[in-house]
Amino acid sequence: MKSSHAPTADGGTVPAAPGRPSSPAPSIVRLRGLVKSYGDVQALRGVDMDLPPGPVGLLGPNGAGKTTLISLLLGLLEPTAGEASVAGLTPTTRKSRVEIRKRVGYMPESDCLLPGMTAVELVSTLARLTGLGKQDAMTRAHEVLDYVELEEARYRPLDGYSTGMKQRLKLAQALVHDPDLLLLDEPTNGLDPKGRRHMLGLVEDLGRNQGKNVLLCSHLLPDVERTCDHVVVIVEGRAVLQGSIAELTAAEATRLRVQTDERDGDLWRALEERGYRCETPDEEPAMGPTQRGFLATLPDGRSDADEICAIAAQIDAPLLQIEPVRRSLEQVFLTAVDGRGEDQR
Amino acid sequence: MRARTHTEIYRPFRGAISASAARASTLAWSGVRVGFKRKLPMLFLFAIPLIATIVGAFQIQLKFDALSKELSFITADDADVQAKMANQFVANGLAELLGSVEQIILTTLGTLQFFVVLAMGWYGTGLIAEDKRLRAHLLYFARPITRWTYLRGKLGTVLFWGSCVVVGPVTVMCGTAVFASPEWSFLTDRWQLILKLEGYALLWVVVHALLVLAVSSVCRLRNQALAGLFGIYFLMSIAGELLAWLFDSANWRLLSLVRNFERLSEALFGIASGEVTWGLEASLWALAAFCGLCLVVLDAQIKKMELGR
Repeated sequence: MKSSHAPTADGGTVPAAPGRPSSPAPSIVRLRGLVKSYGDVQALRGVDMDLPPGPVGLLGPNGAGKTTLISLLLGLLEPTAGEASVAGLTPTTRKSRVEIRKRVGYMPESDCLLPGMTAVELVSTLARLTGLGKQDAMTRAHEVLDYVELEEARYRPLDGYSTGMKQRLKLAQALVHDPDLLLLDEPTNGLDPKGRRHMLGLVEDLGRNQGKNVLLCSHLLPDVERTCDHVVVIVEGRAVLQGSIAELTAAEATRLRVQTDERDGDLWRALEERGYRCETPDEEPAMGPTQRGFLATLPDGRSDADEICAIAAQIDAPLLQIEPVRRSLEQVFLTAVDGRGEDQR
Repeated sequence: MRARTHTEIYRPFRGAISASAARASTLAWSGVRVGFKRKLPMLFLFAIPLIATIVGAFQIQLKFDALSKELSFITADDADVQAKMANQFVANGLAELLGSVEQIILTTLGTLQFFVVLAMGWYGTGLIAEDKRLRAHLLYFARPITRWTYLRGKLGTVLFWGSCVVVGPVTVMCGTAVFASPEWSFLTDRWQLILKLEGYALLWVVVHALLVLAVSSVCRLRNQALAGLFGIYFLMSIAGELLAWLFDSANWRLLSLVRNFERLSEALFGIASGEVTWGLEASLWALAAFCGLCLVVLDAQIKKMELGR
């Protein structure tokens, strides 16, 4: 995988958008050396980020600075240093930061729905607060509630809503003004499998079919993998990794999964004698009772698997399969969080 | 099985987003609408003020009716003589009548002003506290509104409920007096009183609304805020009385909101309780300082909420 490194405010480097096309689409969010401090505590330490249009996943361990970043993108916070551009607006003044909120829709993680209101009342009120006229707000409230399939419950008090309905209602209120950028904070939190599938279907539709720019903040990596094309990993206030999921999890030509039927480890030893680095996979793939598998890294950056076949034939080891190893998003995330970087890949 | 309909597609918004100045009223009205759904408290809190208003307005109407009847008994052959007799009768009796009507309105106002604290406490203490507990402020501040808009919205809701209890009844009774009095005499003779009554009622509502919201903003539960409101309200009075007794100085009573309003009503309507010995300016300064303190608390708390804390 090719990767370029962009300098950060503190002099470090960030693996930046690997394998991007030479003329990328304009970024919906562009951050350069963004710093946000609360007294002595630096929540963001020079974030460089280019969010391409479309669905993007925002990953990071707890306390990494995701919430601060979302607050900055919403224009709720003023950056301590650095440059930011959100949906074409620069949040330098208070007025411009308020203006950003017309272009951004936010679905918070917490419940945040007031009891006593109905879905139509809540969504239309929030639409009016965004600046929609009375008629538009009501029409739009019905449209988005239909879209998230709450049309039959729209006049029911929110007190009786299930978690799934509440999550969909929060998505509806974020969509009501048809924002350029949707910030979704843990949209599948607390949902049962059916509700989760429904929510992910909506997010996927918005990002992939409706052309919405979505920033999905989630701890559930399969959710991000399913709905997003790109991912940004934030660790300790820095964007340590960003790029397309397809490229980040791409198969590596120098690392192969070897499946064999022999139990004595002859092939393992034979390969290691010839300079291969062999290891047991972290997650054992589903294999038959007599099958054995290991990961082999080719020496000297070679990318030819034919030699393994030849060695197996030499020692008469029953070789079942050789396939390039594809990294999961979880591995990518853990590698980025552990700070082991490119050298382990 | 659930049928899918043609509406379950995403429709882009084709309209315009404007910088409407009415955002605070939208927020205020949304709070009022939620309040209207609590019907039982509404019955308890507004039944007495409503009855008092109806009874007061009825009394006023009866008094002016009685005057009209007495006027109808004045008979004379000559129309000029009859008019002179009527004028003299009116001159003698009307001033006394207007005074008694004024007294009815002031008594009703004095009774109702404590219901304001109850009504605003019930409907207002949850406004910010519940937003904080449920983190609903995240939805509001994700919109292009400022802290000031949010505060005005919440203040609007509390003012509405307060006004329903005191400004509304005062307006209704003054209106009844104006329309029932002969030749609009209540309006022409006592227009200053009407303004003073409305101003006093409004000031009472505004000061208490700020207290309600300030207490609500520092609490996370509505019940805590409600208890805190009455705690502060009564503690201020008790502390004022206690310090006045300890240091033998009535000026300590400036700590009490009720005493300051007593001083104000003494200056405006001449109702003296004999226990307030300080000047009007001192009470006005005390009320201004109290409002300032509430606004400082509200500003700090709403700022935290805007930052998502």
